[in-house]
Amino acid sequence: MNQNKLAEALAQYIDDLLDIKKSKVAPSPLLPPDLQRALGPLFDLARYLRRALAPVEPADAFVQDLATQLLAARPETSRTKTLVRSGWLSRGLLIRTVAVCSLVSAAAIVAIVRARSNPQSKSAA
Amino acid sequence: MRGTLTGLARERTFPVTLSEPDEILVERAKQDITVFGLLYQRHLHRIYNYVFYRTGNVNDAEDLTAKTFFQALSHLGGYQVRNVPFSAWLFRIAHNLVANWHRDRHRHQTVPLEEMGRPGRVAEETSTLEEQEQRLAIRAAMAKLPLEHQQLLILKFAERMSNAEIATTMGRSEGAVKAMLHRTLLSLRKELSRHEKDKIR
Repeated sequence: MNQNKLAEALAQYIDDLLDIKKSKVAPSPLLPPDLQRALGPLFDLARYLRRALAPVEPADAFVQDLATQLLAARPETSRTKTLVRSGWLSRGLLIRTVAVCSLVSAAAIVAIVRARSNPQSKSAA
Repeated sequence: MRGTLTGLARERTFPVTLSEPDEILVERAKQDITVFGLLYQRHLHRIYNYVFYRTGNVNDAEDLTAKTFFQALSHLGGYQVRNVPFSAWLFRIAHNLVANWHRDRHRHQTVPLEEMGRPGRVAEETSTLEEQEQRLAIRAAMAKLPLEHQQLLILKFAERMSNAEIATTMGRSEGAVKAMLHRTLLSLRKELSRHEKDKIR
């Protein structure tokens, strides 16, 4: 038997079954008898599955708590992004400031290392 | 709701409503993180449902749902709407977290779906003992299927997703989803009859 036809007919039946607007679902009378015979047990199983996997609702307290926690856990970066987007900071200025700060830090480290090595060389001389 | 993400989003001066499509909300949420509250409100239940049926208990479902949204929030800046719909992106985060959870704890073998604890509020309560037994048997059989097949059943029956939505979420074609649904139900039926035989012995 054509597997595609079986899969199509089953998918159609399940879609009708899960459509809450339809009160009663029956396999299409146009379905050939051999398809109906082959799919009958799977139609039954689909009805059991609909009952076994009924939608569940999360607890109200959980829904509220999670919403509050998400708000409190706003990523830090979003504050900077908001400042950039609102015009308080320009992106170019931000990049230049970070670059200058990095250069100054690197220069300071080099100066400290040199200052520490110089007295040693003087005393050695 | 005042003071929460959703409440703050509604208090904004620019018009943000729940009817806005995800793509617009995502772009606004990148500039104003409080708009994320509307996306949270829209997708929370689906993500929770998915994680609940994949982990089998409320505590882990809550924990992994929270992690999914925290991860989405922290990676929102890098998310591109044109690559994948927001809902599919969220499901992929949740799917990866659940997969890690299974790997770390090996719970997929020791805590199957039939041992679910407090199931949360089930929208369609079943009443008879026979129906409850049937539900447990199906969940036990489901837990023995490959993870991808379990995912498909949850997206279809618990999430009530269309085949097109499932295709996007799982990165397959719609035809492949239909074929997989057929194969999955056949495997589940086999597992159920095996389960019945074990019970008789």
